[in-house]
Amino acid sequence: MPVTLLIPAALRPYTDKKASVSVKAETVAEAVAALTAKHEGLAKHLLDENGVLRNFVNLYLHDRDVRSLQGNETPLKDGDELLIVPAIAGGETLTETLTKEEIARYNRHLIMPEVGMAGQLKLKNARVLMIGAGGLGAPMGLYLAAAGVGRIGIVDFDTVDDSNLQRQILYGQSVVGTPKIEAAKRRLEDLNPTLEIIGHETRLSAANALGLFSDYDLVVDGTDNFPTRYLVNDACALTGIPNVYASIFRFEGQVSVFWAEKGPCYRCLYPEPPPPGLVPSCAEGGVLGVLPGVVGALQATEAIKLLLGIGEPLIGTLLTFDALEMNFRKLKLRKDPKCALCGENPTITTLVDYERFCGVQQQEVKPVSEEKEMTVEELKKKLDADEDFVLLDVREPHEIEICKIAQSVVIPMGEVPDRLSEIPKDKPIVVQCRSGARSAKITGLLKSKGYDAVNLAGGILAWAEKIDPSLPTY
Amino acid sequence: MRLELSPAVEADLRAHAREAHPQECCGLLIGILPDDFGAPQQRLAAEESLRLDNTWETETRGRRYQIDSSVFARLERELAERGRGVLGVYHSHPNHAAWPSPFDLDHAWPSYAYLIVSVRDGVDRDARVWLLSADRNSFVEGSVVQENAPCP
Repeated sequence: MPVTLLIPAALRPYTDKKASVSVKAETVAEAVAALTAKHEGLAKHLLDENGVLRNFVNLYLHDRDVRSLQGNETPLKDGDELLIVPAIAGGETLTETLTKEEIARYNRHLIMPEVGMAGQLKLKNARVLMIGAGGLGAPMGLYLAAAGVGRIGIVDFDTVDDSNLQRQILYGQSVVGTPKIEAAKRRLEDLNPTLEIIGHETRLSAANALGLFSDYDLVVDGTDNFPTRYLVNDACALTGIPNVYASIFRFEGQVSVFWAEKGPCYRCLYPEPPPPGLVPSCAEGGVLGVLPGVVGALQATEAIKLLLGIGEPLIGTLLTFDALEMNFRKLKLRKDPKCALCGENPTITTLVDYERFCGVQQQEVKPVSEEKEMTVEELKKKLDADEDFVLLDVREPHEIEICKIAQSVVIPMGEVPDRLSEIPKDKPIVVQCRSGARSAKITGLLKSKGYDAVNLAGGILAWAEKIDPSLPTY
Repeated sequence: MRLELSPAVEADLRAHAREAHPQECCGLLIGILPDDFGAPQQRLAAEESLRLDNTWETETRGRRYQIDSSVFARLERELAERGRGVLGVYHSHPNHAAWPSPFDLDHAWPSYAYLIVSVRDGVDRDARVWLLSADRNSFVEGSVVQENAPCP
């Protein structure tokens, strides 16, 4: 029976500029076939290679999409008008299928309805940025790559060091000295060659963070210092993406998800950083090698849940883990309405200088400008000349077990105030620790008590590097 | 193809792209349909731009746009009543160049001017306009000119 197809302006170059075309048809499919037979140029725009209506072509019958009626088989009556409407869409090419190899690889995911084909495709189309490829980044990178997260960016500028291998399971002996980005990329590409691993060999800064973050759906923070932690938090809030946070120290760890749109951010919890030096880093305080393994795997779990949109993510919850007690605790976190970043009247609308915000610069500048220090070369000369002075090592007994300068006298830092009587006042004192930070404090204390004290710059690390390379370092 | 934009239209669609960042924005370019609409040498003058909601599901909205087709059908009808039509579509590419993607090509309609604004770090960069080739195999770049600007 005769029906009319109404042609949108965009297609009229193919219908000799006609706005409507009449054909004889019983169903929608017949009407489209008759139209494309009459005007051949239309076929490639309306139908795909298999002759099926393209998914961005919509047909409306009496203001209703025929897909909501009986689709192609929708019957037509005499005089019906069928309106062709462009579905306008565009954007990035997202993957809509898995290859046979990927289906085999992700079998254990695909058979769980909570993940399934749809979830695995979400992971394949997801973009995750890892800040740091160290203790936390190693297990995170491995599990995110194994899970099939399509694009993994890694920000790091370090090289693999012997002291990393105790916990950074991405690396082995053969890559010591190699940039971490390079070694991590090689390892993750070997684990899952279907992914795109992007190395950003740079120090994350206020200048590059927003640009980097806006290319990703989610950030996992594996860093171990306050300036970067605040920087990651602020840049995530400003770009609107979630930040899977963790911190580790000795035997304990913490994990949370900071997502300003849905819950608190790190600043709601800690508006200001602690005074520099109050909270020791892992390099100073040590860490059980397996601890970042547990905590990094928890972070990877949270990241994958967020990407899949399943379960209860740690938004507004801080999970603490104590490896010695082997317990997990959950603490509720509240969004602070007065938060300077994500509160009702935010005052932080752009990134700032995080080193200065966390007081790092002031701390580093002070000892150099005020105090004259002794170099390891000068110490070596004094020892060789057998001068009369005391070399005071203020490190802890377990550190002394690792290495020691033979002539030193040991009094751990915390015991010095009570054991001043053991330190002769009539001799020059050279104070030494691992890197020179603790000994600088004790030098100050001794001077205030009237001692002739001087700090050894760079501590036993500098001694091992420049004077006695046979000493092991830590 | 030559696409003329008035300074006001260009300013508005660029503002839309910045405001939507890091999500992708989309909208329509409205004007009088020329007699040779759809021809490679067509000259289009956009009198206004029309912001539309991006209806793609939230998690991928940063990377794709989609315009509700019932909205589109209604608009075309209303525009025809005042002698106007949809000249083309604009959308933003957050953190990508103003070149069409394979997905854009797959989903492109003939005749329309596809204007793409590149936005990086929240700042709008270049805007380029594209027309689908007759064989659907590629896009041909057109020129974007400000209205009243001298012919190149």
